[in-house]
Amino acid sequence: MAVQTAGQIRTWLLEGEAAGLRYRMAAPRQVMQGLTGQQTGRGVGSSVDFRDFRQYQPGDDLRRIDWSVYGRSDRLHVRLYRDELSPHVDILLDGSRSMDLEASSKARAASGLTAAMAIAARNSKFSHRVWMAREGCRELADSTRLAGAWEPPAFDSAANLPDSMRRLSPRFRPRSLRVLISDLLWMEEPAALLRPLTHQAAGVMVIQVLGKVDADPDFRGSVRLIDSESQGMQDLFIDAAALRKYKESVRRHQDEWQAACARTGAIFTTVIAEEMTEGWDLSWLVKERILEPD
Amino acid sequence: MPILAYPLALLAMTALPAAAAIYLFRNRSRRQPVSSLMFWMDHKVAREGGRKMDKIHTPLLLLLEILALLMLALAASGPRALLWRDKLPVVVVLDDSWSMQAGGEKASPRQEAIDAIADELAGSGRYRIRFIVAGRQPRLLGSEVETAGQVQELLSQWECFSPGADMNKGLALAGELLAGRGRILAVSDQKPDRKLEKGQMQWWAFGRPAPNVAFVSAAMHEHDGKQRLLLEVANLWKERQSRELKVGFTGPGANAQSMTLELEPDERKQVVLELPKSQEMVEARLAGDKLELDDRVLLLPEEPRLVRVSVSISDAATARQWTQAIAATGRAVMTQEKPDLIVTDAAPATPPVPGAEAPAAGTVATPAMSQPWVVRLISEPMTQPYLGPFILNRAHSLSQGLELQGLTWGAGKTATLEGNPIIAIGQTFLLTELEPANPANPRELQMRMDMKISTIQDTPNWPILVWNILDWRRNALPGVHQPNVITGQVAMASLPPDVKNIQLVDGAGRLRQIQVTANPMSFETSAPGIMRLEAGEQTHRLAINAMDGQESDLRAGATERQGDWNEQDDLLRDFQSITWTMGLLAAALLIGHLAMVNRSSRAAAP
Repeated sequence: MAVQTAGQIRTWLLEGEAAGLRYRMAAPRQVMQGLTGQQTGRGVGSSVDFRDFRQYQPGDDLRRIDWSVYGRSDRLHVRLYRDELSPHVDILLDGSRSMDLEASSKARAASGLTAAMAIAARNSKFSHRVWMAREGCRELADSTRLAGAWEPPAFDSAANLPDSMRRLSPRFRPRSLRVLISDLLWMEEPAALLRPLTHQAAGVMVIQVLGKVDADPDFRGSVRLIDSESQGMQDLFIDAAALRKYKESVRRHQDEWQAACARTGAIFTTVIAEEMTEGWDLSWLVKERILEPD
Repeated sequence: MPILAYPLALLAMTALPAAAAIYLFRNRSRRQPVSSLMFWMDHKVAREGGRKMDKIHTPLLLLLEILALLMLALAASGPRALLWRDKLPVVVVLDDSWSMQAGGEKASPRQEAIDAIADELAGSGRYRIRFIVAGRQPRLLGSEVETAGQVQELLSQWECFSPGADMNKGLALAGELLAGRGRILAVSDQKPDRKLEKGQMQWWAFGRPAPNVAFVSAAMHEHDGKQRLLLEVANLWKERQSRELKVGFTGPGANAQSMTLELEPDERKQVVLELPKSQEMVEARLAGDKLELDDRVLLLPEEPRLVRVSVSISDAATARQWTQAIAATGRAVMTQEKPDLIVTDAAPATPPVPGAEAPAAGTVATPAMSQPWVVRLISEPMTQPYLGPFILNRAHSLSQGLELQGLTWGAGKTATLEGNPIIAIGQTFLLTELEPANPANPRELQMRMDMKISTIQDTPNWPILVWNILDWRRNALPGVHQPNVITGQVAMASLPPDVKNIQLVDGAGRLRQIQVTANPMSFETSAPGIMRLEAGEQTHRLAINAMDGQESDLRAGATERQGDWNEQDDLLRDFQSITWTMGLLAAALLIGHLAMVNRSSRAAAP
C-alpha cells in the first residue's frame, strides 16, 4: 500500500474537480429495477424539469396520478416534480487498501473522480455528499462543499467495501443518485452490494477503477504476489497462459457486474486509472451517459 | 580425537554463507503487489525459483546443501583419526646406564622417568607401549603393555647397572620394531647428541649435573705373600672434593683402614695398599654422594686353580728352561701325578686315549678334564735361526702379550705341525693348536723350537708364552676365569664335565637356573655385588663392580624434553584417514536433497 500525504490527495481532488467543471450529471437512462419495482417514464423533458415517479400511497393527491404509466403497468404511480425531488448525489468511495495499490494511479483516479462527480453534481444544482467505506461507511467530512475543503480521503481499510457496508451502512438520501467508485475486487455476488445501493435510489452508477496492473498485468516469471488488502502472499510462475487466464477471470467478473447492474438499471463502467489521470479526460463518462457537457 | 591434515581447506567454509545467500536469492521471487489475489488463486505454482513450498521444506533443503558443503570442506581438509580399536604404538628406549640411579632410589632420573612414563604415556590411554633397555647393547624388556600398572610392573625390571648406554643402537632397534608407524620415546639422564629434528621421536632427560667421586679402577693380586691392592679414585667435578676411604676385609672381626683423600678437580688418584694374604673378600668404600653405586668395590682373590704340570723333555737344559718358567708363574704345581698339562718332546700317542668317545646326541661335549693336555715339542735334526717376520694369530689367547720382533727362533722345516697355526714364519708353523674332532679329547699344542739357537728365553716373551700356555690350560679347569669383573662385562666360567645345570645368584640376590649349553660358559653380569655360581658340588664367587670413569661422570646430566609427536607428518602416518566418511555423508546429503526437490516438483505439477 502506498503512503499518500494529505496534501497529495488534496491535489488529486482538485485535479478531478477541475476536470469535472465542464460537466453536469446526466439523467438516468433506465428505470431502477430494484426491489421497489419503480418505473419512470421516458421523455422527461427539459433537464430543469426533472420528474420522478413513485408508487401511489393512500392520501396522495389523485390529480398527480400518472394515468399513462397506469395504462402501461396497471399500477398507480404519482408524478413528482422538481421541487419535490430535492436531487442529490451520494458518492460512495471505496477506501480499502486495494484502491491505493502501490505503483498505480488508482488512489489518484478514485479521488479525482469523486471530486469530478461532486462538481458535476454541483453544476447540475444537485447537492452531494461523499461516503468513505473504511470499516464502515462514514460521511467524508465537509464533503458537501467543494473538494478543496474536504477531509482528504484515505485508502487504508483492511475491510473490503461489502464488509464496510455491513458494519455501517451509508445513510443515502432517498431517491438520490448514487455513484459507486471502487475496483470491485471482492468475491461476493454483485447483487449483495447493488441491493442496498439501488434501494430508493434515483439512479446508480458503478464506476470500476482499475490500475493498469489490475487490468493488464505485464509481469512474468517467478513472482511473489502480495494482496494489498490482506497482505497475503503467493509465489507463482506467471507465463502467457497464466496472464491469459487472469484476464479471462477479470473479464468474467466485469461481465457479472455488468449483468447485475443491467438487471437493476444501474450503469456500469470501467476506467483504467493511469489512462484517466494522464490527461483527466472524462469524455468516456459522457459516452456512458453518466455526465453531460455543461 | 580427529585431526586435520590440511586445515587450510576449511577456508572453503566461507562459501557457506554465499551458498545460503544464493539459495535464498535464487528462491526469492520478485515481489509484486496486486489489488487482490482473487483472480490468481487457481494458477499453477512456480516450478523453479518461485516455488510455493511448505515452509518446512525450504529451510530443510538449504540445511541439506549447507551440510553437504560442510562435509566436502571437511573432506578436503584431510581429517584423520585413530580408530576406536587402534592405539598408537610407542617404543620407549630406556637408558640402562648406572648414572640413571644418581640421587637415590626416589629422586633418581630412573624413578622420575618411571613416574612420567606411567602418568603421561600409559595414563593417557592412547598408546601401546614397548620398552627397549639400552645398555652397551639394546634388548627388549617384556612385551607390549598399555596400562599404568603394567608399565610400573615392567619398569621394575629396568635396573640401570650398565657401564654405558648406546642410545643410538636402542633407537635403531626401536625404528625397526615400529616399521615406520608409531612413536619413539628416548629416556635418559642426558640430552641427545644433537638437537632433535622434527619427526616421530621425543627425548625426555631427567638428569642433573652433580659432583661425584668414584672408583674407576681396582685390582688385587698376590705379591710376595701378600695381597696388593690397587685402587684408582676420580674426582668427577669442577671443584675440589674430599672423601673418606675405608678398605678392609669383609667378614667378622675384620678391621678396616681409613684415610681421607683430597682430590683436585678432575684428578685421578691411585691408592696402593698391601693386605695380608687371605681368601677373604676385600671391600673398599668411599663416603657416600649422589651416586652410591660406584662408591664401593669388592675384590675377590683369585681362586687357587693351580695347573698340575708334568715336564717330560729329553733334553735336560730345555726341560730346566720349561720347569723354571712354569714354576715362576705361581700358577702351577709340578707333579707327575694326575697332571693337567704335560710338556713333552715325545711323539704323539696313538691310538686315541682310551675312554674318549664321541658325545651322545643331545649332550654337551666337555673337555676331558681328567685327561692331560699336551704341549708337544717337535724335535728336528736340522734347525736354523729364524729372525722374522713372525706371524701371530692375535685372536688366539696364546698370542696375548707376545712381541717377537728382534728375537731369534730356532726351528727346522722338515716336520709337519698339525693343527691351527698360532705363530708362524712364512709357510713354516712354529706353534699350532690341535683341536680334536671329539671335544672330549684333550687339546694339544705343537711347537718347534730349538732353544739352543733361540733367544726367546732371553726375552719377556718366554715367561709370557708360558703364562699363556698355563692360562690356556687353567681356563679349562672348573672355576671362574676372572674373579673380579665390571658390571655389564661378560664373565666366563669352566664347569665340571658332569654338570648339566648351574645356579646363578646375582649381586642383587636373584636366583637363576641356567642349563649348561657350552663349557666354558659365559654369562652377563649386571647388578654390582657378589655373584655366586653353583655347579654341582662346586661353588664359585665373582665380584661385580661398577667402575667406569665416563659413566660415573654426572656433569653431563640434563633435564629437558625435546621433540614433538604432533608433527604433521607423524599424524599423517599414524592417524587413519576418514575422508571417505565425509565424502559418503556429503553424497548421502546430496541424494536426499535431490529426492526432496523431485518430490516437491511432482507435488507442484498440475
